Amino acid sequence: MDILTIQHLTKVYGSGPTATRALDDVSFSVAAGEFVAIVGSSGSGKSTLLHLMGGVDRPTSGTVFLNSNDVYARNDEELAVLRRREVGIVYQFYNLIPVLDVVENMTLPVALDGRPVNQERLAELVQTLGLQGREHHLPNQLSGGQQQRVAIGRALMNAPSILLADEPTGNLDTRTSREIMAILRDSNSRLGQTLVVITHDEDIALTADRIIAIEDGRIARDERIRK
Amino acid sequence: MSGTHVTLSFTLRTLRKNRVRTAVTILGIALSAALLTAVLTTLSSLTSFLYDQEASQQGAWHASVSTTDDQAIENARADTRIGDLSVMTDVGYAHLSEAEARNYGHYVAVQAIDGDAEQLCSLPLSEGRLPQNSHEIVLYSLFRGTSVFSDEPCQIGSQITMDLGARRPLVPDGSDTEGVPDYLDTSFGYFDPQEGSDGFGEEFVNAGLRQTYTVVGFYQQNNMITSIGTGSRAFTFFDKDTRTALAALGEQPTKTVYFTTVGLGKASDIQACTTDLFDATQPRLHSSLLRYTGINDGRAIWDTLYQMAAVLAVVIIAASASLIYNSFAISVAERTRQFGLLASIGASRKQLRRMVRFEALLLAVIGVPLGLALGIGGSFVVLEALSPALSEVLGGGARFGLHVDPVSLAVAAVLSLVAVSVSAWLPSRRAARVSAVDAVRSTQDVRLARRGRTGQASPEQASTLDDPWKPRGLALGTRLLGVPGAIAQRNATRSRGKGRVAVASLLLAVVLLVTAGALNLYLGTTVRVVSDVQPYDIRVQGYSSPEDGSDQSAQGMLDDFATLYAALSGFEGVEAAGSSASLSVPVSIPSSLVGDRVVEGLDSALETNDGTVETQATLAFVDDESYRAFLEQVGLDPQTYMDPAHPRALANHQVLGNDGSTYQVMDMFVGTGSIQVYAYENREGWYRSGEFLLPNGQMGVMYQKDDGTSMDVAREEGAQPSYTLEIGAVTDEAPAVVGRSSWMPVIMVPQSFAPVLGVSDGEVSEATGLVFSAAFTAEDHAAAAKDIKAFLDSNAFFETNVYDAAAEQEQTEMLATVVETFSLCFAGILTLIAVANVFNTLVNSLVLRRREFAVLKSVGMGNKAFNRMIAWECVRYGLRGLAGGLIVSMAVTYLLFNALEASISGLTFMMPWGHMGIAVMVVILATVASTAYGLHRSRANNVVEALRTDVL
Repeated sequence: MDILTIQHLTKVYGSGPTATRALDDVSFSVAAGEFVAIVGSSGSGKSTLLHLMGGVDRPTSGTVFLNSNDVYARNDEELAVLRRREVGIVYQFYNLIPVLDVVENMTLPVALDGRPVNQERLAELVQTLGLQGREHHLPNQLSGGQQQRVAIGRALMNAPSILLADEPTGNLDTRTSREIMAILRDSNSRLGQTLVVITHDEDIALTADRIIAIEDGRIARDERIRK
Repeated sequence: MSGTHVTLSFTLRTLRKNRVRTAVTILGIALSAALLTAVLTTLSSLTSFLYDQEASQQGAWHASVSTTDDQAIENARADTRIGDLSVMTDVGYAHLSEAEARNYGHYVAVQAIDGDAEQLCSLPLSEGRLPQNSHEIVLYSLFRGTSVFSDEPCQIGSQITMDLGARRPLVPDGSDTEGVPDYLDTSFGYFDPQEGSDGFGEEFVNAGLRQTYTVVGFYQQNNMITSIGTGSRAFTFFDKDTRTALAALGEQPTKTVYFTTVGLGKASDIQACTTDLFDATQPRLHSSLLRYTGINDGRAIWDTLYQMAAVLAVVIIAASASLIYNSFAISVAERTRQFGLLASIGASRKQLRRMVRFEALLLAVIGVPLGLALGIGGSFVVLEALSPALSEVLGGGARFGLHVDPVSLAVAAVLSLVAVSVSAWLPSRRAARVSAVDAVRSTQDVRLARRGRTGQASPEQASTLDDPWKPRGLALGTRLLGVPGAIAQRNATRSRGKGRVAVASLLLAVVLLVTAGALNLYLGTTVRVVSDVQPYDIRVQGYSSPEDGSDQSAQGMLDDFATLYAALSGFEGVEAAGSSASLSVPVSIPSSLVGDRVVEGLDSALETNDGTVETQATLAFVDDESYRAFLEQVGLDPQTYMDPAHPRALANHQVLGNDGSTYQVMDMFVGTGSIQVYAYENREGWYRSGEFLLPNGQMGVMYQKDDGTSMDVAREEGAQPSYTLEIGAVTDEAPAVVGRSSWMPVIMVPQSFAPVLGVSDGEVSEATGLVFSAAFTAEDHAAAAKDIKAFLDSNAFFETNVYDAAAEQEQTEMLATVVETFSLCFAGILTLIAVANVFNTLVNSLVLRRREFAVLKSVGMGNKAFNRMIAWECVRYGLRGLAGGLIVSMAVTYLLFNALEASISGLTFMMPWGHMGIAVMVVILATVASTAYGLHRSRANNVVEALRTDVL
């Protein structure tokens, strides 16, 4: 079952002679539980694609269906709700809220939804992510790897339909990178979390089920490498 | 590419990128420089005006000496310390007879001026011109039309003759003549030989010098140049034909030298210079002019002005410094990563500091000259517009214009530059401290509160995994607004730095606005005269005095006055507003009719043990027409109140009293009833000197004789109650000519009651207490006052004076306008600075958090929740800023009050509540507007852009 379907997605920034076509008529689908790696040189449109997939930005034209719902048929308030519940995003530069501690950052999407925090799930995540003892630390008291784990925890807290990661290991050393990717892969294999990861790293890309290569805003290659 | 070039282009690009903030910062610098310039320029213009005024009225000379040494005068002319010099030679004295002396003084001192006198001294001519040769003369205007020196009445073109001589002191034989001059000069008052019981005096020595002059002018004003100890001066011109009385007597003629000095800064220098040039003669200093040339004097009023200017200057500099500091702090914080990057590629700390300071310098180079120009331009506009009013209010005599003092400009420029440098200093150091690592970390710009650093975000959260979003403690924000409120609260507590800056800018804004308001309030109140606006334009008052030769009876005087009144009422452009004849009478009032504070507060009021209050009162007989009109105005029946058969009076409700320190309005009559009016009997040779309370609680009266003997008499013995007068009504209003409140209780009756109440029958002693008043309204009150005065001078039998109330009212209005305009301008500019500061701070603190906002959005915070979070943050620091601001502004208000109190008596401490309210509203508005704009700027149209990391 396709959890995500993209059709003729186009994004143009600016207008007139300085207009940039970041994405040009991109179409593909992602099946539930799939691990997709998106690769491409910088400026190719990967981040734009990711953000459009996550309902963070609006396309110039085209559609995105998440769980058979037209994402961009929603208004802004509804999109916000979607972002809380259906999507989890992890960034290269962690992007934690500096004044919130670990637990607060992780439970932010839940809190924004106005729902009570699932204490069991929280405890489990903290355990899985190896953040015991640091629940009330602030981001600037954590190392890069720890911050990224918090970001992943934030992304997974609501058990989203799809988890999007934009160069999640770009800022980390080799060992920490491996740890992070292990966590992500674990969520994919054990919990069936659909995963889309943008990466430069060939090794990481090769651990995915499928690689999509983007070039100049278009899909250059779409290869399934694992069953 | 040289280092400087890189710095320059880098800085320029940075400034260009943030156009709005750059513009706001330049504006802030310019405004503060403008304000400083305006304050200093106004001071220098004021000084210049006062100098011009003094020079026009008293001359531009710095000092003068008397000497007989011609060589010394020539040496002085050549001396570099002396500027302009004018010599007045004493020609001689004309002696007047005893009879003439009564009106014109004993002497006319003739002096010969030179060509420089007109420029240096002030000889204010009322007619004609200055003399151009030794046969022409200018006299004091008092001599116009007289025959003192001529057969015909003296006027321009008349020939007069004077026998000139000298004054010699008379010393009795055998007395010590040490220190007694051979001849007396113009500084000596008349030394009357008859009055001097020990034989000292003076005599006139005729020099046999008979001079004939043609009168070419008259002068009006008596000033320092023209006045002498006895009599007046006359001025002729010094040429080769001039002969002096002293020369004729074989003595050296004396000369008075007036001169200006060049380059001497202190009064003592001038004295030393004079002593040096004229051999130990004490100079007469023109202190009232010198104080305006920067030569030190030390009067209290200058203390107040400079003190106030200092307080204002400090406020202005604080305002602009905070604006500039904020700007730079934000600019540096925004570029933390840049600075880190630059450090990592090899920029030294000094270079980084220099970059920020260079930015400051650049902005100052644009802003300060702009500000100076604005300040001068603004001052020009305001001062020119107010010029006539200012000149009038300060006493006239010169034109009030803009006077730009280069020193003031320099001071303003330097102060502004200093403010800018100091403000940029701290941020520049912070820029230099950024390490290369900070180029990478994104959480650098959060300066944590102490609690955060110790590892526990908040001590209450001891149990590790409780729902972190459950409200703990008061948590108002969380309870009211949910998660957005909670995030806002955490922003406030855990990221103190930014919040503090925002609070500071709001606090400062409130202080600035309230300071401007307090200034307006205090200056405005001191200007508003407490007395009411008079219901007439011109008031005439006449006093009767027996020697004038007029009809002595009271009725006669009343008739005379009525005739005058009728005549004046007929003048063109003049309308009568009522007349009255008033008498001061002793009255006895039942205590129940009298207000509580009267006995204490009214000097003449005494309480007897009979239950009466005894006091002097004014009994005013108002002309019937005005009285009737007044009765109708207050709704009383003329039948009841104008019936001579049953005389009823009106009484003023209020009276002005004194509680010991300040005067205040008190209730005088609080009810209707009957009072006793007394008349004292005439005792030959005795005059009444006062009333007092006898030990037995009864009223007594004291009579005195010329030789000093006195006699106390109980009132019953010395006086009869003339009549019982019924007070029919107590009114708050009064006819125009009477006035609502005065220093004595006022009882009013129509003039037709005069025979009934026995006034017209009165004899001279009764009548001598009569004061006549008439009130008029006129379109052109100045012209009317002049006409009325001229008429009265030639026609009235008694002493009169004419008071142009409208002119005084206009002056007060003008002064009020001047003061209000100034404080309004000041307030306006301060408001601009305050609002600009708030704007800068809030917009930038929001823009700096672009990324954070983008994250929140990406994580799923909706617009409504986001707005709630921002709103709550605003409320939080808004409240703190406002509260702090109100407290600090109270302190500043007190300081201002303190400075003003030194010069203005009777000033009471007041809080400018109204202005505080306005300040709060303005600040709230500015906050809302800035936040809206800041959100607009930070609302990354492109969330993706905001989250991208390669944008430094």
